[in-house]
Amino acid sequence: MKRFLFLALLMFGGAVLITWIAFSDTGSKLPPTAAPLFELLGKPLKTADVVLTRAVLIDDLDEKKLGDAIALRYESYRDEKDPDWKYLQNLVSHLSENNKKGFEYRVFLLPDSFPNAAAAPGGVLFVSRGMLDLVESESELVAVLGHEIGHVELSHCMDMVRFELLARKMGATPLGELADLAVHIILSPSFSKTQEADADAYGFRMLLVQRYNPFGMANSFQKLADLVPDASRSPIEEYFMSHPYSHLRAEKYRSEAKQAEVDEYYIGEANLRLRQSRHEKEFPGEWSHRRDP
Amino acid sequence: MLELIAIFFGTILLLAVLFGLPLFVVVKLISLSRRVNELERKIQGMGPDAAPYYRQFLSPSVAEQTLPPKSPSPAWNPTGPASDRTAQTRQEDWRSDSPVTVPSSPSAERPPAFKDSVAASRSSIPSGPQASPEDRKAPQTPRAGEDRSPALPGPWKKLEEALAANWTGILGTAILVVGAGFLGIYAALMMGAFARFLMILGLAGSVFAVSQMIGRKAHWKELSYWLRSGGGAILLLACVGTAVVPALQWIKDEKLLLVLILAGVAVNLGIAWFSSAQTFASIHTSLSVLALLILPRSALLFAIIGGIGIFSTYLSYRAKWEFHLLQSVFAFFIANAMYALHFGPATEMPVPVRIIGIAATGLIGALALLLHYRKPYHDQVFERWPFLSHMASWATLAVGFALYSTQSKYNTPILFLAATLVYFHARRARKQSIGWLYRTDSIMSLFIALLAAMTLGRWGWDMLGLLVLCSGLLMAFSVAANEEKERFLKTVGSVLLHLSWLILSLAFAVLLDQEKLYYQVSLLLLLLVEAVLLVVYNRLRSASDEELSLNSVYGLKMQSALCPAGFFAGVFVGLLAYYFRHQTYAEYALPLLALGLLALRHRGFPALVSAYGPALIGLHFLIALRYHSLDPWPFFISDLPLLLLLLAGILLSGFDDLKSRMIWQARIATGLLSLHVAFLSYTVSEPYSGLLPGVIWLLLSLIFLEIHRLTAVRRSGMSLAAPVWFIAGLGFAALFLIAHFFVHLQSETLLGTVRARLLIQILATGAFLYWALSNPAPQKYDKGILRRIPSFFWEMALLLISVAASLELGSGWLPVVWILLALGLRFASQLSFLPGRFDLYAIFYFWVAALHTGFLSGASPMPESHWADRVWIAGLISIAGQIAFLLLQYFRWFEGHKSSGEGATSNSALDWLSQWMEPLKNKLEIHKDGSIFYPLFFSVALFLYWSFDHSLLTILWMLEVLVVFSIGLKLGRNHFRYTAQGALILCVGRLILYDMSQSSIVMRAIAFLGVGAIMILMNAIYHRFRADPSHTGENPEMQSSLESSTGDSRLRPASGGARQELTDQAGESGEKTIGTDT
Repeated sequence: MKRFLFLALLMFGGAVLITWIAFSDTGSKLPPTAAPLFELLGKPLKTADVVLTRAVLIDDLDEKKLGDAIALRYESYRDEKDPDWKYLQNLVSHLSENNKKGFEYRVFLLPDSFPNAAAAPGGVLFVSRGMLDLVESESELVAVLGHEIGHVELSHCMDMVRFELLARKMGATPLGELADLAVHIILSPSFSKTQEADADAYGFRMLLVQRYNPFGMANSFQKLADLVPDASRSPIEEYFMSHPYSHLRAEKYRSEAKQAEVDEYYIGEANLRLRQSRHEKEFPGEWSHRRDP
Repeated sequence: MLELIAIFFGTILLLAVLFGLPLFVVVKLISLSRRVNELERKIQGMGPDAAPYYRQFLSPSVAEQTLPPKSPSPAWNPTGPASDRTAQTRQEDWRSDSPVTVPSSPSAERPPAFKDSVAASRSSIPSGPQASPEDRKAPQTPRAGEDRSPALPGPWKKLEEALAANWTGILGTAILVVGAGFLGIYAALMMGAFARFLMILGLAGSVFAVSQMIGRKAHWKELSYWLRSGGGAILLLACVGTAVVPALQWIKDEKLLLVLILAGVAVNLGIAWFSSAQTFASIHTSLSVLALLILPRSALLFAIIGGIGIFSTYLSYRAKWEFHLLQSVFAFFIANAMYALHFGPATEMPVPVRIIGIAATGLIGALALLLHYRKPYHDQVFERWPFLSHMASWATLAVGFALYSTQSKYNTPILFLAATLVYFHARRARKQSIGWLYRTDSIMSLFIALLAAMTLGRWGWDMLGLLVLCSGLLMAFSVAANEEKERFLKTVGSVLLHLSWLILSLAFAVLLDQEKLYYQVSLLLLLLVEAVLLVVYNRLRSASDEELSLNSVYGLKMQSALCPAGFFAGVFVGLLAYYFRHQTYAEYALPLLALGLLALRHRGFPALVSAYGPALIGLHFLIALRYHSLDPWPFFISDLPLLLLLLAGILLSGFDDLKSRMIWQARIATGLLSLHVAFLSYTVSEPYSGLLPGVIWLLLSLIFLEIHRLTAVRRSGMSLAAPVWFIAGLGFAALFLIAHFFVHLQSETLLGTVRARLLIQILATGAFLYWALSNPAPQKYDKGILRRIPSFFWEMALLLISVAASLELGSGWLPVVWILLALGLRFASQLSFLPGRFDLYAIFYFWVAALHTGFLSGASPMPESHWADRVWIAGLISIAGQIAFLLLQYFRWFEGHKSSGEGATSNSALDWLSQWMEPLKNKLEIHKDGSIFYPLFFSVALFLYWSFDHSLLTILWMLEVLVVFSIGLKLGRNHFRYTAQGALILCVGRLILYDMSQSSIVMRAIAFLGVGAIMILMNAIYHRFRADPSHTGENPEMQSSLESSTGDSRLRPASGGARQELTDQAGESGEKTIGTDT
């Protein structure tokens, strides 16, 4: 009897769920993909990688020194008279205030028309001009910058140089490079998508903390997905993908934004247009009540 | 020209005579000598009783006179014993000349002198089947003038025998012919044509005279025959030479010339007629045909050749002259072919030639074929040469007729008539016990009938129609053979019938013509009826005897699910589906037809079960096409008839009217039904939402599991397929998992404020728990892997919970989830209906929680917008949970009396996985200090390291050291104390090296004060425990430890083994002590 009741409960619950989905999720097309599964499976490995990073006897000071060296090489992309760079640097400086690693974040503006952004150890960020052209509001730009800051704060950038730094301390640099390369080849594909997902989460959290438009993250990913549509790939190709599909990321953070407990947020379209960060000047008209797209 | 040819062949012959023949003769002689010696040795070894048989062997005609009256006759006797017949068959090869029975009248007494003379002359008398009629008619007593010389010495005797009996004849004739050739050449140079002709004629007469002269001596008889034959040949050469050799042409009138040649031919045919050996008959008839073929082609000559062929074939009637028969039909066949090729295609051939050709071919063929129906062949024993000559006769007959065929459409009735006549005439052979002839001619009649059917193309029939008619003829033939209980013919007919159906199936698949659709469909229906009728016939016939079924040719029994006719019935239904694929409502009508077959199968015709598979393939092809052309819901409606057919296949399999088990029908139908349901559920639901198919499959897995449970215990059609229901249920669960991991995981759809994905995971967890609790019914087919799989659903449920937590919660709160799961599993493992291995999983989750807390919870760099974002809170909760887990694990609160390995039901054998994991679980239980305590200690230490300011870290770690030290004392575990002491040293080192240099003065003071206080406290606790006998007295290890540290010698020393035993017991006693204290 208990078994029958259990079965009846399951069938009833299933019927309710089916009906609910049928009426709420009408027409959603979900082509099969293994990318989310790989992202999920990458979590334990990523955890192990974090444990490894923490177990290695290198500290933030080592990373900062490396960042300084990298920054020195890209000094030419840092034009202090360029309003775009100034805007970005101002924004990044404010966003990275009180960061856990204690880095002074530096941003470099690359003259590339393709929208892109990257992070390097020690708080070094790269943003292309194409990215500035792609985003339509400061909140979307913050989402991108938050994502890159997340990579630095979550020590993802250290993966490629972790053993090299350690070996340099011990006076055996080639061995360290070799170890980094091995780890990168063997492990990196399995959790790189998970790292991207964590950096996304960091960026999204930054949006919430800074009270920017929570849909900024979804919007920026959607723009990327529209610009470069995601081609369907085989499971093997999906395994070696470094980033999750942009449209899935957009979908995820649209859903997260809907769930976020935010009543009022800042959009910052004027700030972006004027290259004047919100921290320099806040436009009252940019504040908006919740407006789910 | 001819002279040159004659010289050329003469030279070759001469060389052969000079070198080849002597060599061959020597070899042959040696061989014969060896055989004779061997036989003599054998017979001598048999003793005196074998002497008469020895003599019989050497000379049957004489030996018969000396044998006892009852001794079996070596003569040809068709009605004699089988052994005699076999022996005779061995002797009667194509060289056999003896058509007549050897007189076997025994004479009782013979004078000794006569016996001696027989012995003396035995080697000169042709033996056994090679003896000529003249020999046999010859008086057995010596005649006047006959050679009475005493027996010759051994080797010479053998040589003479060999030369006289065989090679001398051949050799002599050959030399004679060569000599005649040379003489002819010489004569050509010296004489006139007529003189030359007369000279050759004289030579022929001389040779003939010599043959007659030496033929009186018994041992020269063979040579005499050859000489006579040579004389005939020379005569024919002279006659033909008159016509074609210029040097011999003494007659100019063609009529006279023809008369002369016919005279030569007549002489040769006369010699053939009077020849007692088929070799001579063959030579003279062949030479006659050859002579006429040299002459220019004409209808008259062709008629004469035909006459010679008839005459030659008729000669074979005198005895079992199989070689001569072969020669006769082939000689005429060659002549026939030469004439046919000479006159061109049958339509352009002169009518008389065509008529003569057809008539001669028919007459010779009929004579040759009817020859084997004669009395001498009335025997069941298969004979090789008669069979070969019979087949050759059929072949030459067929090709001969083909040469004159004008492709007339009236061939069809003639061929059908011929087939009928041959078929019924073959029955005559059956009555006469000539088994091989009966079978051969029956098969030939079948082939003629098939040929006749193929000629229907001249009447406008298309290929499919012809093939259908052929299949009908084959079926009729097979049935008739079955009625005659003739297995060989039945086998041939059945195999050909099934082959024809196979060809028809391919032909129907390839030759589809939409313009002739209904004609072709009617043919298909005809075939279907044919196949079903054969199934019915088999069923009716096999009711009394399995061997009376056509299926018996493949060794198939009546109850067998395999039946060629049934299978092809299904193929034809499948082809109908292919033909009707563009017809509306075909998907409704054809399943009904298949249902009819299925019903018939359950009305006493089990062989029709074979139709089920191919028919279903065809119907699935049809429905697959509908899938591409219809929307989901109309497609669903289209598929319903097929679903009903499958359901009928399952339900009807339960009607056990013939005591046959319809397991495979039920299982295949169930498997297909499951696939349909899976596919339909996807097709119909996917357009609404990509999430729906997975959820529906999950629920279907439960439904199929329940069907399995309900049907497994009852005898019904559905119960026959019980494992398939179960496997299908597992398949649906697997489909759900695939859909979940490849489709659901990417979805962020919200239902209210909750993700649909999470709700699906909750439902799936419940469903998997239901699966885990529902073991398959214990039936014989549920052994092995099928019974083991449900155990994994516990793991699947845990996996889904873990996945859901990972996806829905932030990383910081995961340690809380893991430790809650560990606690939950720890409690759950105590419930009787849950598997014992949950204990083990609880420890795994505990480890994950400790690892996560230690490395991740203390130092999350994530921006914090909410209290829930502060991961240290989660870390603290996790540590609290870990402590609770430790207490539970150590003190075994809430622990019942569940035996280890107890599974989800009272049947512990079902929880095989728990049993398999039991050793590991026990090992961890024994080493729980290492598996529970230390992970917790490290987790806390690392959490403190990552979470708090480093200036406070030394004090916090010292507090932890204090706890570990106290636990060590409380539980009586020295290693805890040692670990604590080691950690204490590290803390003191950190205090000196780090706090002294890095911390502010205030923090430095606080650190020193704190560490110092804690160390004093540790010392106090240690001394309190040392002084407390309630602890030291009951814990030998502690006692020993304290003794060693205090130097107390009152404790007795223990050996290594005993000490280890005490150590092992220490844990238990310690636990008990603590338990009572508590």
